[in-house]
Amino acid sequence: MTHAFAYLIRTSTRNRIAAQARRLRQPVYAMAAVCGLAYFWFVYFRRGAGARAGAPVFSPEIGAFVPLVILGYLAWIWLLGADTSALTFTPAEVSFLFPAPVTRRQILGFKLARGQVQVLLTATLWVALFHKGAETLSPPLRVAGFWVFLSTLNLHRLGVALGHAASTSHGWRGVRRQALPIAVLGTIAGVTIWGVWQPVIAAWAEPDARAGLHGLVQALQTGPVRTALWPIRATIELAFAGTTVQWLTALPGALAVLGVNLFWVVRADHAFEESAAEASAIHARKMAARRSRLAGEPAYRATGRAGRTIPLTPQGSPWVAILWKNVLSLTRSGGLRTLVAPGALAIGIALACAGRSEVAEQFLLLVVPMIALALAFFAPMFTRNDLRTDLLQLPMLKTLPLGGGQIVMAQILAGALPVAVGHTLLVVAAVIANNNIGSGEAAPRWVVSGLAAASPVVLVALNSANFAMHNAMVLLFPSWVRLGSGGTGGVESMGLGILTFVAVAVALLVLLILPTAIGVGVYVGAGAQQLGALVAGLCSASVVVGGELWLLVAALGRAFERIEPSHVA
Amino acid sequence: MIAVRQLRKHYGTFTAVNGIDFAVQPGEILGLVGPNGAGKTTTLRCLSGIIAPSSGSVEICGHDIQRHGVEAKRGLAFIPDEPALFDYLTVEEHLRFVARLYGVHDAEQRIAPLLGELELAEKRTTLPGELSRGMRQKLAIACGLLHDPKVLVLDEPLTGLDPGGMRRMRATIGARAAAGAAVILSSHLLTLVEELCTKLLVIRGGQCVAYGTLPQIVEAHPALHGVSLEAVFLALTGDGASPVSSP
Repeated sequence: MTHAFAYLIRTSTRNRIAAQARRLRQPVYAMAAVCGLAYFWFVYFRRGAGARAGAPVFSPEIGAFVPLVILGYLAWIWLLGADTSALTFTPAEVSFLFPAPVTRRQILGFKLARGQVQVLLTATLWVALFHKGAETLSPPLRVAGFWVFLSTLNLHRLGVALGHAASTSHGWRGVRRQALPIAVLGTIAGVTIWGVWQPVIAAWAEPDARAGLHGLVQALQTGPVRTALWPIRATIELAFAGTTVQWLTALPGALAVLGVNLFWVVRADHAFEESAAEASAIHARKMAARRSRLAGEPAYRATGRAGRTIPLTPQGSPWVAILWKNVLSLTRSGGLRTLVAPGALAIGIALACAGRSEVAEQFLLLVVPMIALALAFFAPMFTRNDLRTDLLQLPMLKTLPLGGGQIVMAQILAGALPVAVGHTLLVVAAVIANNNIGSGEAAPRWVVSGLAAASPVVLVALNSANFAMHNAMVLLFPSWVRLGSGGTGGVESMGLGILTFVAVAVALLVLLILPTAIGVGVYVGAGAQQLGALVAGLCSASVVVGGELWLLVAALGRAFERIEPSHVA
Repeated sequence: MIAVRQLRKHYGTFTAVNGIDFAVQPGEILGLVGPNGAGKTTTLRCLSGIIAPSSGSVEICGHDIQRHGVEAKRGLAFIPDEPALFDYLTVEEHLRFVARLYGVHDAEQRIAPLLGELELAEKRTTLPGELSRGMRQKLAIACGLLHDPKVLVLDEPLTGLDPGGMRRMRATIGARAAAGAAVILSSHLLTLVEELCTKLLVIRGGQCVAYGTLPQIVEAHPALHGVSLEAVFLALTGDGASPVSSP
């Protein structure tokens, strides 16, 4: 049976690579591949040349917090994330393997083995992009270290999904079966919280932020917290080892943690079949919808109450109908709520703390830009209410009496406008917070007023540019971008996400060079350091972004008119 | 109303459609028939602007669909064999969406009767995911008919409909043609084709095998005299039938 599974993995991988290679015959894909390889070569080989031998990847301060972040992620998936995508099989796998005379454990083994190809790819990309300054360690060892790290994380995710499935189908009995892993993770979390509680409070009260941080780092790296976090640290130390000696020292511990997780998952196979079948059925429906929509077949069944609508008159610009449809979709999928919630919450906190706590307002001023930045980066990844979903309906879109440019513009705005609303709320929160703190600590009034006045224009322009890049990616490389809101998720599919993220970020930076230069020029030319100059600088930069987007939308419109369902499938 | 000249579509070295010519005038219903893989769907997709022909031209209401796509599509409705609907729009919102796209000013007056005619009135606030296969097909049909298209392209329109729905759909197609629409109907249901279509286009291997009214086709192939449409179809598309030029 193992041979059959190995054959399936081997031939599928080979054929998939061959299909990707065939795409490279198309000039646009070939060009992108060359650019990508050049970028990787630069990052992988050139960057390392300037780094210090054996230098740690993270500074000691940052490195101390990494296990804490991983622990937070694990707690999150245990408490909230019954991540069924970890259990999914393709429809063909369900049809062939589930009725076949094989044990559940063998199928589970196949599932784990199949994921390793993607984990390896992701590990390679991670090493190429994020592993700076470790040039004394050979690239294969770096990839191997990351592979172990990601595989451990993947196994744990699968184990949690099985645990959740067991508790859902067998109730308290199912939870009891997971008693040991729950106890282990609970102990790690409990000891960590107990150990860092006092240092966190001390750091909060400490006027010298560096001293406060030092105390917290000390708590994480010594005593019981250090011991409790060892299983997490063991895998991290292997993944981020700077030298061969460090790597070899970390290897046994990391392998031991991997082995324990593997043992746990394989032992949890009793909950596997039915939960995997159910998860696969849902996944299969999504995938079938993906394929069938391209063939003009029915959509995946979104169920539940439609709720409130947004009025749409039959008169007016037809492209607004696309914008309306996509915003309505975002509203009903809960995406809009997620986008505006941080801003609304920040405004609520700013108002509640007005006149009560200047520290809270200062903290808010510190946090709001970070949230805004996170929103800018992550919103396009989870909303996807644009061509990244609608391209599944390509045959239908192509029959609409709209030009390609109109369709592309509506799709970009459908993503950008809701995020701009979320950003605007954050700006309002920042203005309120700034007005509530003493004049000595607050930003100058002309800066705040200038930012507030220009923010609607700036935010629409920047978010439109951001979403334009994501839509450009899917139009230019439809075979490389995942379509639809669903997906397999997990570390094994992170490779594609990383590639898309990097490509979009680079393109966005290039797009913003000219507007930034012109904006700075106008700001300086208008006298600088005054309200009028700031507003003029920001607005002129936004207008230039708008001009660039106009040209881009026209080009993407032509690309949309050329694209065919066979290019997407 | 529909004029197709030397339509060709290649995918790499594979030729899906190879030099097809035909025309459909207002009031006519053209039946497009052929075996699986003959090139019917590719032809319909070229007609609807979903894919671009490799060569040749397609005119809809006097507009070339490649050069003046927006104008051509304003008068066109394409109803696929499987309905393509949006997950998060209700039945009524789908129609409002179409109304805005095509600028249907009297949409309010049209939507209610259309929903009633297609037995969707009680489902107006329902999302597509909660509709049966047949209901979804009816909604797709309603979306296609709302803007009163001058050209109607139907790909297996009866798929998923119950007998009552099929009867009403047949009547609707006939009524639209009688009102002056040019209709192209692709179907494997030869009884439907025989009942509704005024002309036939039989294709095989991407080429036209026969084109014209049924009597014209039979006249061009005397051996087929007096046989059923099914027998005509099998004779024209089976082994031994050589491609013929359009009359």
